[in-house]
Parts: sequence; structure tokens; C-alpha cells
Amino acid sequence: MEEQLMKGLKPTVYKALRVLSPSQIQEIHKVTMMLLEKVGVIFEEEKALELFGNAGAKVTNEVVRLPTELVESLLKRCPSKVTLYARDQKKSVHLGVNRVHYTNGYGTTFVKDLETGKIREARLEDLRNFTILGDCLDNVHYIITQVIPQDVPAEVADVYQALTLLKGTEKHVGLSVTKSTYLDQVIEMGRLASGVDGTNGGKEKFVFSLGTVPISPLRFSRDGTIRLLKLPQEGIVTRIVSGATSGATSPISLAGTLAVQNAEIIAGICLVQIVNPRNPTICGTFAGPMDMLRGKQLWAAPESAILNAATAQLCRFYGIPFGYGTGGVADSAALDIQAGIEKTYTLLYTALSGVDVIHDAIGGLLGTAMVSSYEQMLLDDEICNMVNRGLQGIAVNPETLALDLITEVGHHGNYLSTEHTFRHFRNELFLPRFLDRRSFNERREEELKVLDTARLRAKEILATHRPKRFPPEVEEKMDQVLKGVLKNLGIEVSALPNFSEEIEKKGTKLHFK
Amino acid sequence: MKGDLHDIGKNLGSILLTGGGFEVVDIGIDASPEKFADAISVRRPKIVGLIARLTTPMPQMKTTLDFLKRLGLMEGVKSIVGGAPVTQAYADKIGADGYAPDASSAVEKARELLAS
Repeated sequence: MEEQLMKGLKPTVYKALRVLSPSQIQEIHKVTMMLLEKVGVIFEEEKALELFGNAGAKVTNEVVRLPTELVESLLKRCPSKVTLYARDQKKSVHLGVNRVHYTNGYGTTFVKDLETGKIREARLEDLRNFTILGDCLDNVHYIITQVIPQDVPAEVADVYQALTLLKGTEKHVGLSVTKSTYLDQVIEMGRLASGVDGTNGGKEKFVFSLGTVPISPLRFSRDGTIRLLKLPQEGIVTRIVSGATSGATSPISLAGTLAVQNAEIIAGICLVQIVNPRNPTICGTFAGPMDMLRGKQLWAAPESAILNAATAQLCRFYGIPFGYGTGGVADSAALDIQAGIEKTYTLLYTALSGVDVIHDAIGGLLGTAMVSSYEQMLLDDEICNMVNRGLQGIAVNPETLALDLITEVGHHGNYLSTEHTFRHFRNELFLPRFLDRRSFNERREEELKVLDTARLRAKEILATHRPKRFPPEVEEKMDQVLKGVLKNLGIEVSALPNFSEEIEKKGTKLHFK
Repeated sequence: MKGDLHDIGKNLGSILLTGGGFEVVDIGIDASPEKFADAISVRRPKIVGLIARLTTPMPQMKTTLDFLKRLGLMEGVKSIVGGAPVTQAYADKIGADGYAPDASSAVEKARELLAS
């Protein structure tokens, strides 16, 4: 079972939940095309406007209006299957083939401290630690920036984050930058990590992807547009992820939110496909409704999950890999029952809907994606194992139907002592690592065993697991890129992201350098 | 706030304040003290709001408020600060008139400041 789970969902058993009927998809498509043609999307960058104009779009000031025929011809260029390559090729992720994948969490500024249990600001060592956990857990198919460290200068945080992730895993890395200032340096590090020198004419196997987020409604900032121009030039997988907030930055109606989101994503894809026809492109969503009482975006509302399910259907309609769906974020700020309800609901719903990649799934994210929890990350992994079992369904064949066995056992025997039970219990049953199945009698007042066990496991992984290192000369070159940036700004080089210290023995106390 | 490129919180704050009956002048993300000064001189607001999502741009809140005070632009103008990493203690420390942990409490706080 372990091996099957790692491979994700098999195409043959794929039967995705459908929230939209074919005619509803057509209606959303029609309105999306009208939005693109009549209302248009803003791109705050001269070069993009020029390219759009040359391609046949109507450009007025910064607003780009795209005729439907142009959109359709550009969408045809977009590859329906995309591979996110990994340093360890066995861990490359193949999108668009009806399999569900997961990533760790994205971008919290706070962390629930593993020792004290207190919520505090995120540090560089947290980014390193969450990357180690992500590298170790099989269900984390690629790694994203778990925290925005608050102990490095803000202007160079993007570069620190990129170096930490690239050094910290053999899996594919979904990088993010909040500014395009050091985009070239981040790409340079990524090139070094990928072992490519940019001479292969856009056919490079990059071990990282990058992208941008439109500012809903219907606008790409100058900074984000720069990435949509630069990444496809290099042949890098380009990610376009919309995060419309229903009731605030998009209509409160989910259909209206889908139309806005769809128009944003498709406009972004059009630019990528103009810059470099057939450039691998993935789309995503973290749309959700606004909390009408508190005015913040919700991540675990049922509507967030439904929007993901609908996006999965729209992606299949357009033939675009859905490489960045969202599930598993708790709106609850505590490690509590509410968090468990919210995570399980959104993870199961999005997985059943056939989202190619559920980002944030195994990130221990709490409090509307503001806090990362180590122990919760391990429990998220457990939920995903349960979800995977749910996706696997039931194997029906002569061996599993067991007619001979049932005949033989008859009416008075039992199945526990049969060879058949021994042979199959590991394949048939989900075996929890953390869930506490003891009886009330055994359990009594020990309420938090699940959290305690998960905490111990997190510490154990951090003490014993290290990502495979690059050859020293490659590592040195990657470090040099960050050092160069710091030197130019006159910032003193403090600790660089480091994964090379000795692995300690199991059970020993942890300390960080 | 200069050094802060997260739009969502600022946008939601702006949307809710508008919904609460305020006229909002949104000067965007990554705004320098000079940009604040220009906007205040031209638009003459009753309240200036500053929001940060990350800890790192927070010192810029103090820099901006100090800059505006030095130019005499805060006479008769109240200030309100907010965003996830900001606390009441920090607001007091940098001499802001009000603190709001999230967008909806910003509306209440703004009303309170105008009534005072």
C-alpha cells in the first residue's frame, strides 16, 4: 500500500466529484470570454502591453481586451501535461494525468514553537525545519516556501527562501518571490540546482517552478507581470494562481467568483503563451469567501473547497494542469477539534474533486494560513493517508472476493486465523500512525496523545533526516549568489541556510545552529 | 507601507471602510513616507491608516508617522495601525492613536477615533 500511496491516485480509478454540469461550465466559459473581450485585464507593464497589442489584443492604457478567437488559439498552445522535475528524478511530479498530489504549506509569518507551544514570529531555522519535514514525508510531492522568515532583512527574504528550499530537498521546489527585484538571482540559483546552463533552447529540466498572483479583480501588478514575461523566456514552468475573495474582490456568488478567477488565469496564460508558445504553465486557486463578520478571507469554508472542485473541472475543460489547488488550511487558530474538522473536510473534498496538486495540504497551517504548526504537519500527513485510502477504493477480484475462503470457513469458523487475513490486512486497511484508537477505559485523562505522538515524530525527523547534499562546488556557487546580493546591499552575511550538520542520534535533545 | 507587498489585507481594509461609509484614498502597497505626505497634503483626510502583514516592514510605520508629524501633517489627523504582527503595545510605542487587529475592527476603531 505504501508504494501505491506514494504514486498517488491511479488514472483507472479516477472518478472525480462534479459540482458543475457541462452546461454550467459552458455558461461560465461564455461569461469569462465576455469579461476578457469587453472588460479586459490590467497588466501594469509596458512590454506586456506591447506584446498583447502585436498579438491582436485591444490595448487601452493598461487594460488588455482579448478577442475570443485569440484566447482560444493561445489556450491551444498551453500543454495539458506538465512535469515538475525533481533533483531525484523518481520524485518528479507529472501533472494532468488524473493523480492527486500534495505540498507543504505556504508563507506563514508565525510558527507554533515545537518546544514551548507558543505562537511566535517565523525564523529562518523554521523554514529549514519545515523543508526537512517536507523532504522526508512521502505524501509531500513538492516543496513550497512554508514560512516568511522575520529574522532576515525583508528586501532579501526572497533570495534566502529560494536558497533554503533548493538546498533543502531533492523534490521539486515551487518557489515564490514577493518582489521581482532579485528574480535573476533566484533563477540563477535554480539553474545551478537544476544543473542546467541555459543553452538547451528552452528544453531544460528545471527543478523549480515560479509564478505570480493576480490582484483581484482583473489586474496583474507590474512586479507580477515582469515574472510572466521573464519565466517563459527561460522555459521555466510558470504558475498563475488566483486568490479572489468572494464578497470583497470578486462577487459573493461562487459562479461570479469563478468567472473573475477564470478571466485572470486565462489572461495570464495568454501572456505566457505569447512570450513562449508551449511553455509549461500551471494554474491554481486559493479563492474563498470573506468572513462577513470579521472581514478576512476564509480558507476552510465549504465554499473554498467547492471553488476548488469547480476549478478542477474548468481546468479539465481547458486542458490546463491544476498545479496549485488549496486544501487543508484551518481557519481555527488552535490545535483543536475545529482545526481537525476544517482540514479533513477541505482535504477530502478537494482530493475527491480531482485537484492535481493540493497546496497547503501538509503544512500544519492554522489561523487562516497565518500560523505553521510542526505537530499539525504530521497530523495533516495522516489525514492525507486516510484520504489516499479513500481514493483507492475497493479492489474486486477472485482473490479479494474470496469465494473459496468464505465457503471453507462456513458458518461457525472465523477469519482471524486464516492465511488470507494475514496476506491482505496491510493492503486492505489504513493503519494510523497517530490516531488514538484506544478504548475510553485505557485512555482516561490522557487527552492529547495524538499531539504528543506527532510532536515526538516531528522531533525525530528533524534529528535524523537530512536532504541529500549538492556537490560542494555547486553548493558554494549557490551560496555565492546570496552572498553577492548581501554584499551589494552592504548587509553583513550572517547564517546561511545550512543542512550539513551531523545527524544526531534518535531521542537526543535538539539544538539548532 | 514601504517594504510590504501584500495586497489582500490592505484591500480588504479599504473595502470594509468604504462599506462602513468612509471615503477611502488607497495609496497602494509599498508606499513611502513621501507618498503618504503627498496624499495627505492633497486629500486632507481625517484618519491615516497604516497596515503591515510582515514584521519586517513594521519599523517603517514609526518612520512614516514620525516623518508626517515632523512635516506638521498630522495636526488634526488621527492615525491607526494594524495587520497581523502589529499589537496594541506597538501602536502605543510608536505613538499611533488607534490599533486594529483586523479589517472589521478597523472600521469600529475609525468611528471611535472620529467620535473622540
